[in-house]
Amino acid sequence: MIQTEPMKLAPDSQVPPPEPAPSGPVATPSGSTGLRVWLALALILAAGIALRVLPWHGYPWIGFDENLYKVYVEKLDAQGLGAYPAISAEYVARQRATPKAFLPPTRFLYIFFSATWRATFYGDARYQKVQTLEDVKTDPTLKSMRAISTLFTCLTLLVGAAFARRLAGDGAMLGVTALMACAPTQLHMAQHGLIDGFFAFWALTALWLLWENLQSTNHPRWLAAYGVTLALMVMTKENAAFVTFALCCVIAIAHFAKWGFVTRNLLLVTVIGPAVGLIALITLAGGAHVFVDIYQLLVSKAENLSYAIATGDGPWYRYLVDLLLASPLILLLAVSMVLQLRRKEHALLYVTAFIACSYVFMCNVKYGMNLRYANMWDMPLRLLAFTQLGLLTTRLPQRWIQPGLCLAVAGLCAFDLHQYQVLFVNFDRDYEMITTNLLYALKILKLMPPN
Amino acid sequence: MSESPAEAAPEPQRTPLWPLLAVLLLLLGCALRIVPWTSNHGMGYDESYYRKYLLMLDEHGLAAYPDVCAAYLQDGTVETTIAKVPPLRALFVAGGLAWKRVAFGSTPPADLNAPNGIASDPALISLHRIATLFGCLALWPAWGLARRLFREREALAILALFVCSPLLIHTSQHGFVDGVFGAGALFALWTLVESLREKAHRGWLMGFAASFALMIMAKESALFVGLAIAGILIFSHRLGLGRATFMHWGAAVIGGLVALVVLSAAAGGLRTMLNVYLLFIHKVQVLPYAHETGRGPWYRYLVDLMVFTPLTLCFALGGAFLTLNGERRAAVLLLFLAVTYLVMSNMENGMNLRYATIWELPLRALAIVQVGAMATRFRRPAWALTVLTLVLCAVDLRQYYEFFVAHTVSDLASQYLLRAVEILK
Repeated sequence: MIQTEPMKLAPDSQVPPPEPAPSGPVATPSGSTGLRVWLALALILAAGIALRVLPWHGYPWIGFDENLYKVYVEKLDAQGLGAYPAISAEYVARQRATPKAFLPPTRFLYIFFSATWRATFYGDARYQKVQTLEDVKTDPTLKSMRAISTLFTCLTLLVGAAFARRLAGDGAMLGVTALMACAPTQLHMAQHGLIDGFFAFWALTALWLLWENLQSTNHPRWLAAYGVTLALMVMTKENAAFVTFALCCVIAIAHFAKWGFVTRNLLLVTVIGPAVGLIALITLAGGAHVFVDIYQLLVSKAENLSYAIATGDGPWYRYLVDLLLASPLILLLAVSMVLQLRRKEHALLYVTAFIACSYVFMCNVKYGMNLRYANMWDMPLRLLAFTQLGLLTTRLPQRWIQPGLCLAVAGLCAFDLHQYQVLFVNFDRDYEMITTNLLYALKILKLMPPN
Repeated sequence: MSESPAEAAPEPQRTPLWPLLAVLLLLLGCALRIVPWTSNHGMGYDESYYRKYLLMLDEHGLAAYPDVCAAYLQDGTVETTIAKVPPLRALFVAGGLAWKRVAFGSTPPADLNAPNGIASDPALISLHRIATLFGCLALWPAWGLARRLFREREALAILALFVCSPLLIHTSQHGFVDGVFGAGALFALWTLVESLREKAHRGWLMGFAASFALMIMAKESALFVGLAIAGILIFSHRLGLGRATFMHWGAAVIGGLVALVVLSAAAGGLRTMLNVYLLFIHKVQVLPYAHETGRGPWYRYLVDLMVFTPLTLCFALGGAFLTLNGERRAAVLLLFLAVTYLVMSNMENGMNLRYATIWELPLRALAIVQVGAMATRFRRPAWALTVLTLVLCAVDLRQYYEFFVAHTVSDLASQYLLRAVEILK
């Protein structure tokens, strides 16, 4: 008797299933990048890291926020993690007593990393007040904070490269990394002890990992990495709320637009990750009531802070104005690209959805708008700008397309470096990226001579 | 074989709706410009000098124009005097004078210090009316040019956006020359595009020469528009407009020469005319106000436009890149925009959003290019185009309200715009 197997219409393993024609930039599958591309990337990364590491800034003093972080870092370094509840309680008492708003100790991760760097590289170096320019250059705490900022903006460059490759392929990886290497707002964050570059790293990493999770169903490593990143982001800065909300919106859109697989595990991790970060922060603060007090005080005081009222106000398009002032060509290219996106361009729609969702939250914070907070949009904006450049260069004869694109990217990089020189080196009165300072630096507003 | 009902009874031709919509939009545009809407009822620095010139001419007649120019030069010889608008913006001043004579006869000027003095001054009212008149007249070439370059539906959308332009409403609500100049530039551009068509009626060429001459008589910035027109004539064939001939160049030259002859006559000689302009340029360069408000990088106008009409600018950028990527219809407008922008953004201490009235139609046409491209992605493109256009119009009107009704902005220097939207405090 002849045994017959039931008929199956399983695909033949030798014949790959037909795939829909790709539209827009195409991601590079892992392992298919050539040596020349890696070499080019290494060169771009080296240049980007050098631009961040080498001192190149105008404002020579310690900034207002830097001074506050310095206090926290030194307290943590001196008293250890166990004293964090005491530091938090002290903040609450001090904040209650003054109408001013101080940044809260719940920006734990940056403070912790800076303290760790200080302990590792400067050991028991004594704590000192920064009173002279020499102090600024030699103070171990300040140097540690700036080192952490520099390190994480370098890491942002790496994450940006990986993310761009996964979204849009090798060409985009090189182009976007080059543009990121010269992004004025990134360079500025690397040169000062500011938290926003550090926060942008976690936000961008979370965005990248969400994309990876959307592309691969329930991959435990991607899920774990995504969850850990969300937790750490929450422990970095309260702006994590906007990013988390934005990511939730992006997940919802991804589900309906079929940009990937939204699984139950992914949803769980999206909830659990931030929750773990929150619990860690509450523990560090010494209890839920202290934690709530910290944020209530911060919000109530910040809303009445004259500096915030003077510098953080504006209409919904305030960020567009600021971005236009800082990197006009990138914004022009990116905005025009956003309007030309088509439904099948999932990768670009994904980053656009993130910008749009976080924008909606961030432009509605009363007296709380500052270009610093837009640091996490630098990579997505540059990806969009690069894609627009790619479209423009397709108008060139075939053999000129690649050189044309390289030339255009190099031109954009040069222009962005010039912008950095004008905005943050030539203008040396302040390091805050408020609109007024940008306008003074660009000479749209006339700057009065110093007294 | 039986005929299908459709073959048996052809569908009666529907009367197109667009003429009615166009008329409604034109009426709305006129209403927005004519009905006083601004909350600033004061008199600007420039207005005060236009008024002075008008009153001098009113008292001594048009023949006294050379004396007005002589007085301007005399005033300029004093080192301490600051820049004043030149009297050779003849179209505006003479137009104001004509309006004043027709509407108010020889009514003496009002006491500006008296209550309601500014609002009742015949000279100021006349200047204001001329600005309003040209603001309304500009709607006509805007629609004409849009119809020539785009389909009826898109032309209507462009007209709707043009109707709601906050800048054009603003220049119509005050005695500013910029709306008059913008209208002249638009007439010149429209008649040029029409005259470049194959077998175009000679009248278009004459219209081009006339509007070019009037534009030069309106404001010295006509030089920038002249350069853009030269660019259009050079690349006309590549822009898909037809080949520019000797006749087109001739019309431009004749129009320019006629304007120069008229201005020279008004000034009392070519040398005086040149001296008036040179004095104005010299004085503006040392004017503290210009140093404070007219500087900035090459993208200063983009920043101002982003503050002023953000959504329209974003869509116009999309339209500009679509045009660069092969969409041809607005190519001529993009070239016009690029050439004039290149020159105007390089004027040292001489940047102000008021001068951007000439870009209002190109920007809005480019915005509609982008809106049109987006609309095709919807199931009902016509509805999508309508809704998106209405949104842009609503945002623009809201911006007008924000700047000129809720706040009393008059001068459009960046800091005043930024203060109105509370980015600067």
